[in-house]
Amino acid sequence: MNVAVEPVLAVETLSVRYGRRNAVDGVSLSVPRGTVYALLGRNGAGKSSLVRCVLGHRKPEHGVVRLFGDDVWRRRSRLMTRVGVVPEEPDAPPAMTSRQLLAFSSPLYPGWKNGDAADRMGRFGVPLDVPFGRLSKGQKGQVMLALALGSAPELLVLDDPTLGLDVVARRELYEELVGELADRGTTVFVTTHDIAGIEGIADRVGILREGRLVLDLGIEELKARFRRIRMEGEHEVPQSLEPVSVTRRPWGTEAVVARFDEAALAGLPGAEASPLSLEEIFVAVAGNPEVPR
Amino acid sequence: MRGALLVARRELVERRNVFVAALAASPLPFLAALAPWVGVADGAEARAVVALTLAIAFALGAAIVHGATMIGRDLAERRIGFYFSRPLSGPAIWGGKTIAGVLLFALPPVLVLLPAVIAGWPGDVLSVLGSAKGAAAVLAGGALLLAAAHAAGIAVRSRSPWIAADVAALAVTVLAVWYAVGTLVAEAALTPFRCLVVALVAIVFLSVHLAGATQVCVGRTDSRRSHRVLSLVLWGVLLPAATLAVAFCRWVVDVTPAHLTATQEVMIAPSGGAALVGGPARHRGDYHAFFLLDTETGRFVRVGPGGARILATYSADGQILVARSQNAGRKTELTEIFLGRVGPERPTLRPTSIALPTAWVRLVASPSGSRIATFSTGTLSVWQASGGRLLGSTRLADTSGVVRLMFVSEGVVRTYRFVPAVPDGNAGDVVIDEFDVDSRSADSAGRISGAWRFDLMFADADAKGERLLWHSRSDAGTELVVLDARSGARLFGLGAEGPKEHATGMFLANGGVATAQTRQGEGSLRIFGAEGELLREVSLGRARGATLGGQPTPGSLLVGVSAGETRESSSTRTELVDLTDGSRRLVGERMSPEGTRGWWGWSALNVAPVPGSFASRACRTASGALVEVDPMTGGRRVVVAGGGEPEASR
Repeated sequence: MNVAVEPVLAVETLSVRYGRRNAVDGVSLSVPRGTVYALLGRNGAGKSSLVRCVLGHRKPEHGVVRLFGDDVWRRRSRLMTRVGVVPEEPDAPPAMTSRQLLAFSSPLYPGWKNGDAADRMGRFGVPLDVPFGRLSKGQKGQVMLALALGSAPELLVLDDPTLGLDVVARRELYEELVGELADRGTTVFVTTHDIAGIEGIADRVGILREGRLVLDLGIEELKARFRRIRMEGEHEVPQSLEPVSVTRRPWGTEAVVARFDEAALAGLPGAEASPLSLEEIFVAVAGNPEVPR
Repeated sequence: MRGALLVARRELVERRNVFVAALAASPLPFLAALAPWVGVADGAEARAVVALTLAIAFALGAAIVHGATMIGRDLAERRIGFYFSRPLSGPAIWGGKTIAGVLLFALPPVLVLLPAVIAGWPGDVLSVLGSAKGAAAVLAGGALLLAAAHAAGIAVRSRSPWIAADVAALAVTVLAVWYAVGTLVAEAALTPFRCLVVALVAIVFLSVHLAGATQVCVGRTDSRRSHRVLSLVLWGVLLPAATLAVAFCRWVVDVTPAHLTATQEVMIAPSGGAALVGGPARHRGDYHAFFLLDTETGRFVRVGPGGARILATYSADGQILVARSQNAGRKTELTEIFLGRVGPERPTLRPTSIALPTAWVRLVASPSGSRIATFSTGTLSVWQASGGRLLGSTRLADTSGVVRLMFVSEGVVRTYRFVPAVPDGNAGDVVIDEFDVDSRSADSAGRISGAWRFDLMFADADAKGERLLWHSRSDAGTELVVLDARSGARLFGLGAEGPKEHATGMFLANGGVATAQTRQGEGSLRIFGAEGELLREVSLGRARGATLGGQPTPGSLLVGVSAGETRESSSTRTELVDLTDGSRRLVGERMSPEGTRGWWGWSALNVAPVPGSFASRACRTASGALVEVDPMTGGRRVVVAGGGEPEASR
């Protein structure tokens, strides 16, 4: 395989089951080097299960996850030298101070930059000598991000990193991410509910619904394909536009389509197309059970 | 390794309060020594006891608490991902946590003990812990406890249905091990028991650590999967190990006479073909097995358990009484009596309801086998053999423990008791009593004066119980004499024994007496008539000792002649002496006639082999085999092979 085109992260027909329930069902996706991949989904859609498999924490019932071309389940500890992780729940030992966490992490990574990590914590305003368990939720997230970035990772995996953070903390986190991306071109795999926040930095978006990946597109293509169409009167939306939702309004018909085509719009009287935000696309796709997978 | 040390260091830093607590506790032993109820002389001892108690409490507490929480708590609180999101391998995580655990339970006790040891330690208690083996045992025990607590912690915290399987597997394992260990203890198979315990402890140690390490490596952050992996590995090792333990135990105790490496105990019935044989079993360490054996067919029944003391007697009808004494727990000994029978079918051993709360029982059967007389703790009792009903009993003072019994008839039991002249003395008299079962009365019948404590053990009675062969002692020396068995009165002498001489004798089937003795390195066999007249003297050649066996025919006698430095079978040859003309014929080298020697010192007195019986032809070889010789052809049939005796040889 050509190393240059090899994806940093490749998920192949991944399935995760809890008892009889399929948490992840045959998901395949790949994240090329330098890409920011945002995996979206409602609660229980299977995002965290997928992330656990991506990090080699859990063995999938079926399929394989490859990081840098290697099976992460088999080579986890070696691959983790190249990966930074910010978990959904900050999981550092509560008795350790940030300084101790830095000292603990430092020998584990060949490319660890203790000064950078300490500086980053300083920028965040995190006290270095307070036990992790006594930090605020936002500070814990900042410590986890500093630890994740301390090794100058090639891949950064963030599992809903903004969960529970206030607006300021969220903004700081994204700024740090943007800076990291600008400086080093790190590949990022992020799951989040903060769709508005991620919209600005994501290159590619996947949407999980009930364990299945129902959408996996580049952000530009996504925005080009998904449009809102408004028409006066009651009209059928051509199937070629792949309507995701159609709503009758007092003034006419409103539809969200998944394959917008300017030419198809010409036959519809008074039809107007407008772009959708990522959040609107997500609501249309993930929140509408009528949308075929 | 670096990863493991990092994890260990992190654990130690997090749990450093254990060391602080140990340091804080170290003065407590000194305070205890100052307590008002502790005397000045006992101060050091009180200090040592409190220090040791605290040290043990710290060690056990740290091992259990750290074991139960080192992974389980992180898993339950979803913090174990911290380690798995870093370049730390599963073994490094497990190893680091275990290293920290070992240090956590090993170092605090040292901190607690050290001041007390420096201040002065009474006795040698600490030397046990200080030895390499002791320290290794403490460390291994703590590490075992640590991993076991970890396994229990994972099982409880996961809240997985697998805990039901754990409980079931634990119950099966405990029951199997209990059965295996208990059986080996009950059978007194102490070497196999030690081997099994060492193996089981090692297997448990390895399995809990293997299960823990595998659980971390495979289960990772998933608590339920972790529990499943842990259970599969743990019980995947322990259940087969428990099964093997049971199989090993069965292998040890399921022995046959063919497994005996030697026949150490042989008690052959004076008539018929029954024998009780016992000895160490091959490849089973010190395990000692007993069998009731039909020497004709080779069929047998095991007389277990191996650790029991076996005593037996035979009735004239071939029925066997077996008394089995064993520890019944809490320092209690119990003797149970069984009725054995060897016949056309497989030998049987049927329990009677007779059980005596002592290990020291004398036992005889009546001529018909319908009654049993027992003597224990100063009580002579006569029982009905079938049903075990007590027919009568009487108190007879037992001042020496040297007692022998004889049924004179179905209704009369004669007892011979050595009564020392002074308490615990070796010189005294033998008191003869007769107990009438029907009238339940005991009468003094006679007395043998000037006896030594163990003379009664060497005594022999004729088949009718009328005469007694006795080593009579006087100032002039020792003489083999024949006494009236009831009164103890001397009937006639059979010749004095000189210094460094030894004589032995037996009643012959025709009422005469045979004696064998050695004098100045020469052996001789003397044949006396029923009235004590010397009929013939046969030289046995160079001999250091001579043994009388049975009479294969009424006119012949097997004699064992020891020519070597010792009287062991290796230097003994067996000869057949023709009693009519005194001619000798070699029957076999390195073997000695067995006869009914196995009854030496036991209860019954009149157990001379019946001519032509198996006992009259039985010999034991130097290798421990029990063989039956054919005095006419010199051939032999191996009954119990012992140490490699071929099945049949000539």
